[in-house]
Amino acid sequence: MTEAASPSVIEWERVSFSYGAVEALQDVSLCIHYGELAAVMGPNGSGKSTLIKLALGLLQPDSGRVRLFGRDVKDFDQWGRVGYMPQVGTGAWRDFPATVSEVVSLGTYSGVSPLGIFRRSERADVLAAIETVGMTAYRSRRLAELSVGQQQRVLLARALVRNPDLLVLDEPAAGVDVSGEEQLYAVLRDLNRDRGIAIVIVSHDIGAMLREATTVACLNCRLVLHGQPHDLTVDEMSTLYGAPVDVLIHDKAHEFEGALHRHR
Amino acid sequence: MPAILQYEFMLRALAGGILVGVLAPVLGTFVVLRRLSLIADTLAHVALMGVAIGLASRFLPTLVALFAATAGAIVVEQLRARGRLPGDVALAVVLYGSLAVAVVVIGAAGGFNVDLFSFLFGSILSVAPLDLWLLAALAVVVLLFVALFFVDLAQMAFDEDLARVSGVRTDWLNLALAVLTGATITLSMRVVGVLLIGAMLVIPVLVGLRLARGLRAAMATAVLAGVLSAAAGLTLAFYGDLSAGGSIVLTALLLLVLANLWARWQLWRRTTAA
Repeated sequence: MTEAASPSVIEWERVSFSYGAVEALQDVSLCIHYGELAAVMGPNGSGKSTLIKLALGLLQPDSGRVRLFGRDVKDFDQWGRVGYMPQVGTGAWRDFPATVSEVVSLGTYSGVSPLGIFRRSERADVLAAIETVGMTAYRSRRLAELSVGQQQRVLLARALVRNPDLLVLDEPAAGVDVSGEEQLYAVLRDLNRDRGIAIVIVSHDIGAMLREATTVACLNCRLVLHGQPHDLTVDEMSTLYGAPVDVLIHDKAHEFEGALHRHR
Repeated sequence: MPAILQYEFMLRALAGGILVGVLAPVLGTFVVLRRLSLIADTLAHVALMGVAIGLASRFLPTLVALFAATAGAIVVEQLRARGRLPGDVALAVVLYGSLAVAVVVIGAAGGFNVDLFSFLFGSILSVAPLDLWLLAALAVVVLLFVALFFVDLAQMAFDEDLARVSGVRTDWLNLALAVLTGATITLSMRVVGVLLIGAMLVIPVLVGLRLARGLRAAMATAVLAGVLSAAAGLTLAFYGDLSAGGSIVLTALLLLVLANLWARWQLWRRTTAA
């Protein structure tokens, strides 16, 4: 399939994957298109992160195919079109001596480079990416000296520095306070709407995902639900999470504002 | 001219020490940041097995050790990369397996002798011109490798998955890093000794991490600490008739204590100023 014939950025076609005897994904078919801000949700162990790792070529499926921009991920080599932001854990990179600028510079990687000396245009891209996430004042600080929320924004800048067409984020707001979360999603909204970057977010944060995403895919080893956030019903979400769920609709600026709360 | 510089063997030891002081921290920076410090000890024990086989068979112990360390590096990396064993377990299996073979071979060959002791603990008398040439050639290869692939190696040290998604060929870079680390350990044995070479890959790097801001600055500081430890340690060994390896590593440890004190002092100054 050629890229021109397919508007998809990621396509999982009948994908199955197991960790030894433990089945993580079973016969999952899903497509993410240009311009989407897609949320991948599901309970712990539902295969969310596995799905993303398959899309990024970090794992190979037991069966089925994964395509990135229309090409089989095994043959994909245009990694500059993909920005990836892994989950930040508490204490991550505690000893890593790199400054914010250095970490973001690492994202400009484009092959062999003597001592990592970057061209002037790359340095401008680094500064622009740091500014996009609002971390200019911190660019000379060591990554280890920043809060988890600030580290998340640095990793987002790193993912953005090559102006990708696709951004993949794993739990981007984990460990981030409310104002940090709002800043992060504001940046993501701008990137998706203004620059047209397709964004895939893996998250446990049901409320934020239903508020921010244009499409939602719910996994539980299989693809259980897939559609627009307002298509999802309370019963479907309750079944997925194995606990009763309420949907509270807020009348805010975005086209859909939802928050789900568990019954106590 | 100081007495230390009037002896050819001492000049060779100093040149070898300085080369080790550069090489070990350069590779050690990536080893430590990837939390694979045990790899240095593991490959050192594999090299010891090679030395034991070489001494027992009377065939160039350094060459046999180099071959063994290269093969050991490939085995460790394959075990780690294929996920058959967790990283630290793979290292432990290879470490104890090699040590067991070394002990058996040493026992069968009639026990410890002076040659073996010089490999175990380092000796300023034992650095031969061939050792120096091999170390110098390795230094050229390692510095070229790190200079060309600095960004790739930094990305791998930061996060291996991120590096792979950025298009870094982590499989062969990991292998190259392991093989070069094995070669560095083997060729450094004459100066520092098998049992202490791991310290030269780790301690100067910790000094760099305490003092410097930025990855390149940390590596440069680690190299400075490595060279200073080697030069001062060998000088101590010469004048005090001490073990070369022990003196070098104790000097490096002293630098680490001073670096920690300096870092604490800086933190205290910032806290009180705020």
